[in-house]
Amino acid sequence: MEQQSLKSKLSVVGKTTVDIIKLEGLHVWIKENHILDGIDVNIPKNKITCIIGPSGSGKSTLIRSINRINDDVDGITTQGNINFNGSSILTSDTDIASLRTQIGMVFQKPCVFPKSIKENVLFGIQHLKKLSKIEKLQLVEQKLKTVSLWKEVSHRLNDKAISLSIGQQQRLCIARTLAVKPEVILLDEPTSSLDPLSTRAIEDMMVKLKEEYTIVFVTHNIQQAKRIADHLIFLCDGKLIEQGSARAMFSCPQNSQTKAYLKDEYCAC
Amino acid sequence: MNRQLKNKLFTYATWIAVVLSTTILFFLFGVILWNGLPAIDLNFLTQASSNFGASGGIIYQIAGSVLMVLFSALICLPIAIGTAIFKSEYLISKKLHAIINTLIYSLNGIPSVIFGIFGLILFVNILGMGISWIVGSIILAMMILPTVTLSTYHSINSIPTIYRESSLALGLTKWQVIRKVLLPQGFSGAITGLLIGVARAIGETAPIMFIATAFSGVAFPSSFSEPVSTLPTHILALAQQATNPDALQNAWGSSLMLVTLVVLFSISALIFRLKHQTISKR
Ligand SMILES: Nc1ncnc2c1ncn2[C@@H]1O[C@H](COP(=O)(O)OP(=O)(O)O)[C@@H](O)[C@H]1O
Ligand SMILES: [Mg+2]
Repeated sequence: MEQQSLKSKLSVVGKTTVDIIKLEGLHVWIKENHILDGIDVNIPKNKITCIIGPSGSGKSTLIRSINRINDDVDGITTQGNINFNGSSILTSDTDIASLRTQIGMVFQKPCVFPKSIKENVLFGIQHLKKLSKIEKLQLVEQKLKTVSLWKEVSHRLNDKAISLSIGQQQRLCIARTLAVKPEVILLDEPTSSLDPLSTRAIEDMMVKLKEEYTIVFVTHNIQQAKRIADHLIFLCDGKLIEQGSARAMFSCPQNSQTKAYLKDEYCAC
Repeated sequence: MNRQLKNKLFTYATWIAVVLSTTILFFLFGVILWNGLPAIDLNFLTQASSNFGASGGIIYQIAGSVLMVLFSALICLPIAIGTAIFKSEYLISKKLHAIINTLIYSLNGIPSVIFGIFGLILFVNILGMGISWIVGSIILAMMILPTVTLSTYHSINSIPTIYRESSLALGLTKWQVIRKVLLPQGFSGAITGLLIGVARAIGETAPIMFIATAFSGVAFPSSFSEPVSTLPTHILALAQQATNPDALQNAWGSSLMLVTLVVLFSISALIFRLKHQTISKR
């Protein structure tokens, strides 16, 4: 009996995946405010990592540090380290534009450019690479199929993207991010302004996408995290309360605050 | 006094203001139309002036005015766009923003005759460029620079941050974001400001009369360093011979032409702004 349980434990260890991103002692201040207080977390490769926590707990600040889109925020100071594929990305000589092609981001509110649907899919990639007309068409079709938008828009690729519904626009934003071929996709509450149907569509898409990409998904919706997360990070008031495999954390959270939050969406911190 | 009465009085007061200002505007237009229309025919619009403007037409005055403001627009646009981008995307310090604003508003507040004197001293005397229309264009460009810069700045600055972040997140460099996202969307603001500025510049007399224009005997310039004749300076010259009824008649005709051009530029500005509203205003 004992041996068997040890064996199963070992096999779990054997399956441990690589951490593609590691945050070590990450502190962020915006002006005088200490927004993130020494965060140590891992993002496992080809998994969905959900970041949960009450609003204002620093989820956006955390995810926005990973592609350094926070750099432009007025009065921001960052300390600590973020490792991506083994090298630090917080150094002054990091090529930020190229980092962002490897770590893509989808925002809470879909933001399409005042161009056609097709041009929106190609918007990022065409600034990085010369593509032939055929390559462009193939890429557009492929990415729109991945986000299950192809059937709906294949006959009107030259229409303005703004004519799409909000849910479709968000899927277009995801397609645009995928077209750049990143390794990691950061999503900051991508479904919070969407209807339940589009929300489900995006959740299902994430589960498929994790075979090819590493997904970091911020949500304040615990049920959503339960549906899609492999790895869970719980933040509260700028501090990491607990992280671990989603299954373990949902079934038996180690921390009483985590337990309270997962049960009642209430956090006393 | 009770509140309702106060409200009513205030409403009446604003109405009176509106009626008064539109009446004045229509009265002015009416007088110019009434006196100017009889002077205008095909010959007046297509012939050179003769006899110091008392006879002949105003083709070279129209051409001179349009040429000068066109070049002032060309000179002004890149400087205005550059300043607007710098102010909106690169300048962080609040203090420097305040200083630049003060400079822009001061430049806008300088009386136009001072621009003329400045141009005379710097370009004509010190730099020896002579009395030429290009000096006039440079001076007019300086005059309309604040209007065009602020209009461009506001249309670029009002583009929501999410557009910048969405394109940065796709791996575009800051310069690519400026070129591909901000400029196309901010360009309409630049053009609107430019049309408003040009509408003002084409009517200016004081800044160009010593440095860029001659009152008679000029045709279409064949180089940068020649003077031209313009509508406002032509009107000034004709008004000085007001005892001659033919000259006076032509002064009214030229005025009508000038006002028509101003209205044309202003209306284009309005149409342009309505047609190309930036994303933020949708
Ligand atoms: N640009 C900013 N300036 C000042 N404070 C900010 C800024 N952005 C976020 N904050 C503060 O940082 C804290 C965390 O915010 P955020 O990361 O957006 O939280 P979450 O995404 O979990 O709701 C909040 O208290 C918020 O007020
Ligand atoms: Mg947030």
